[in-house]
Amino acid sequence: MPCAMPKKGGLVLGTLDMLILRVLSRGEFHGWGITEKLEQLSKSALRVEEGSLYPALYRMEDKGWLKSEWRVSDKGQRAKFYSLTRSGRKQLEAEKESWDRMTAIIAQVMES
Amino acid sequence: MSVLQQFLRRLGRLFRRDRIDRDMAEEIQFHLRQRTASHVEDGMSPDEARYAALRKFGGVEQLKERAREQRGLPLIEQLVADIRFAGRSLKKHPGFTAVAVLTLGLGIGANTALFSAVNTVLLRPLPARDPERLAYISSPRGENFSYPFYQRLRAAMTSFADLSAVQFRISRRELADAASDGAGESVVTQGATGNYFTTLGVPALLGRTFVPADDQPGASAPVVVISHALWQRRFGGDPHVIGRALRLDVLPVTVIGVMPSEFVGFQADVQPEVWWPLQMLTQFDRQTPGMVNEGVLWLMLFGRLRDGVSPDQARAEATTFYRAEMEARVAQNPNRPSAERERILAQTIDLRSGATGFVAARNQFRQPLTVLMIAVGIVLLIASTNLAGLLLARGTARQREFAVRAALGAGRTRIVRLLVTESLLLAGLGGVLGWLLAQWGTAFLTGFLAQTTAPVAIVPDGTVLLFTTVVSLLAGILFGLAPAWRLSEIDLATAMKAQGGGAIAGANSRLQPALVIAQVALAVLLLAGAGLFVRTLHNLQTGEIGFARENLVTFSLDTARWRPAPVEQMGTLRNALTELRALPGVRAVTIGGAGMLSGSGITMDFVPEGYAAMADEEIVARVVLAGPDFFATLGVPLLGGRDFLRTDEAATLPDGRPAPARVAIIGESLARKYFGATNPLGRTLTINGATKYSLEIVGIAKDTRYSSDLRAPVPVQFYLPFFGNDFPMQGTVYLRTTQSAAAFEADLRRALARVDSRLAPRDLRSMDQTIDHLLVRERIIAQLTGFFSAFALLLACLGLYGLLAFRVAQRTREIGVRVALGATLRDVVMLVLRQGLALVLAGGLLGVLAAFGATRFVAALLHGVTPADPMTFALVLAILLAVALLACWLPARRAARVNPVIALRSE
Repeated sequence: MPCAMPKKGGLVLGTLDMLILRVLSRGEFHGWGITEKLEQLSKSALRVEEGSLYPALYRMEDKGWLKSEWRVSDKGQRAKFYSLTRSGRKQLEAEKESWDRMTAIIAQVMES
Repeated sequence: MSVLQQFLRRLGRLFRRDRIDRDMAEEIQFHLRQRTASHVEDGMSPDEARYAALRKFGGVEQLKERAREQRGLPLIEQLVADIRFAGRSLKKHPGFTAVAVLTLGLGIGANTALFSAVNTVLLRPLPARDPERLAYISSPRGENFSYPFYQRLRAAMTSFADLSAVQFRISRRELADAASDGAGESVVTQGATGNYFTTLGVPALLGRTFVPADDQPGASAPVVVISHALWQRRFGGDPHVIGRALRLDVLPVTVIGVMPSEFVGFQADVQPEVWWPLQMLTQFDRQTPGMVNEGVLWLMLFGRLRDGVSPDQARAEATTFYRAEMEARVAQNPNRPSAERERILAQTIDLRSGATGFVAARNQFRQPLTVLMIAVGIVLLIASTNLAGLLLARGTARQREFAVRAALGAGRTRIVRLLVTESLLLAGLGGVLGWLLAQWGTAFLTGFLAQTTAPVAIVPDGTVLLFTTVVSLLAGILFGLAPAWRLSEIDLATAMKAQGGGAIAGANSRLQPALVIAQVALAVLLLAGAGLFVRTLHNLQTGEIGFARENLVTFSLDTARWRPAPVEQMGTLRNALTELRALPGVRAVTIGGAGMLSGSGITMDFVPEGYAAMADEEIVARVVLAGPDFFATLGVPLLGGRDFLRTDEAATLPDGRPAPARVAIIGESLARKYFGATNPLGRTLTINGATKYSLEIVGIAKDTRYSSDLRAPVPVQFYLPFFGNDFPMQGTVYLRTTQSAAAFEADLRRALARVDSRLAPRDLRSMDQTIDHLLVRERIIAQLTGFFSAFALLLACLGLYGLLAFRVAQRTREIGVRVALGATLRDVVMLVLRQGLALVLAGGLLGVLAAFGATRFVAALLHGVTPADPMTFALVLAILLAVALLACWLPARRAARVNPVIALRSE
């Protein structure tokens, strides 16, 4: 499962999808835009493995969570913009919930 | 999103692959440009920035590949790629592809066509109610019986719920509207008893079918039933056709019913358009003996078995009844010679299943079709072993390719899939060709069979087509796969070094020669059969018929249909002859009785004067009716005495009928047999019929085959004047012309119309056409087995060539060594030829032995040659050697060209 890599080592498993969905819940972005946004939102702590981004995007589009559209970017170049679909929003909810649950369990274990 | 939606999406992407690739490339390029720009903003130089961007991104191509696999349907895409590759590969080896596709196509097509023909002609059940309960009466003589016999049988048989009689073939009559006066259209009609349709159990589509009340003698308002085709064609499907008044020949009739379109009478191969009740026969022709005469055999008898009665019970009852009849007949005349008595008592009848109806062609063609099926089977066998050998050899030659692929990471599954795709593509092409050939083949066979009796429509049978295609596919896959399975057994490194043969060749090397020998043997077997059939045809075509066949045109004339008085009939025919004689281009005209060369005719018992017959001897002769100028027109030499004169036929009886002439001309074998050395002229033949009378012999003529078929021995015969007998007045006219039949027809019709407007020629043909027509069966067999055996020989020699070429390629090095050590050109060539000829001789001998055993089964189809005819066999072996020598010659030449230096170097 593709993952996001924090800039300073450490591995966060299987969260790339969720992060992408989160970014796209805020608006429509092309692939580069998602990369920049993730960097920005995490205050540069997250650098997406770019080799994983596009496969993830394609996979999620295939599953129907995203849809894409070719548009002319603000710089006048042609780029593919992704946006969330309704099932994508539902998936985001589901993943957030599952993530919250998992972190709670881990926290419980660590503090016991 | 459901799995199905996902799948459909991916399927859709398959068709837009190029565009999707471009999009993906563009998207990635955009990303890279942005990253590069970002780096440049951070202070890197443009080049450095670009490299850094690429490095960060990771492998672009791998990404694309992964993405493609993820988003697409890799299985299908690979399949498409495999198919493309298979296509290219097949195109690179056009020879192999052509042979393989032809083999498959011919196998599927020929098989389907023949099986469909067999199915139609031999096996298709009758479209009637419960056809398995139907049975028909047959005798060794044939399937035709007399009406009085039918009546007695029907009364006596309790096993049948009902017994019906139908006219054995068809008669053509004129159909017109009741009001109209002119000539009507010629339609195919059939007479049937009142219970015909009810026995078959098929109701009418419109109106009703016959009931027994319709079939009474002297019915004042006769009714007819018409066929669906006639209803559409003549009456345009008019629903008010029931009750319509028509005229059939000269009789007013009313239409009471229309049969459904799929209705086929009991005789499945004739297509009557009008059925009339049997009793109408006497109204068509008042003088006809058909309803009362025991000797007029014109009806086919069939019936429906009573419930609970088995066919065997019915058969026993029928044979018992018949035996009783024969015994009664013998008892009638105690003075019969015992030979004749034996002959009568030996007659039997049999009951045959009517489930498939009766098709005259069936009996004619049962054996030839079976023979053809076997021939096709043999060709198929040769072809498939050839194909198998080809595929195996090709697989072996590609070991290196497979090893390389395996080394590059192709799994065994992938390679297997590649091979399967190739085989499937081949099989697919073969299947298409096979389908085309099946269509053409069935049309061809239909045309052939249509020349015999009535058209039998054959269409390619879907099940057979499917079956043979599936079998070919499976065979193709199996043999295509064989090399791939072996891949895991060999060392990849060795295989890659191997020289077009290598490690796998060993296993095949025993199988292939055995295959070639088997193929040659089978081809020889077929050739022998074909040779025998071709000679049979030739013998029959050129056999002595006793009269001159060149430029001889025949047609039949029937004056009985509009029932003139006998004197009028005679007059009409005589006038017709006079008119015809006057036509330009006609050198001679005559008229004779019916049934030329067909084996049917008049037979009479007679007593030659002065001949001391032995106690049991039967004296019987064929009687030929000879009109004026008969012998001159037909070119039959008169060996003694004179021809018939007008004076021989002059007298008439009080009721206007011609008085029988009291003269005869005898054939030479009759003269020899019964008169020996004494001069038969002036002597008499005594006929013991209803009345006893004598015929004076006035001439001797050469024997002809006029009254016997082409295969039977020439019978003992004598001639009576045509116009001096009391047999029904229809005859066959013979014209010796200088023109072909077709060019002549218009003049002919006009000449006849001048005599009587209703007089028209039927079955206008030349004598050569008549003979050809009689030999359709023999021609089919000879042509088709000839074709198939030639094809078989070709295939066998292809197999031989392939094997030898392969061997030469394998042993190139060895040959190089031999040549280097001093072998001459001749030695090398002999090396190859010896191998080849050894195989050919082995196969040839095996084939000849097989033929000796097998051809005796077709002895019944042969004429003039024995099943083990040495000349045919010798010819076959000669052909085999000639063709095989050619097949060996090419590899031998290639071996001779081997340059030892190159051969030794290549490894």
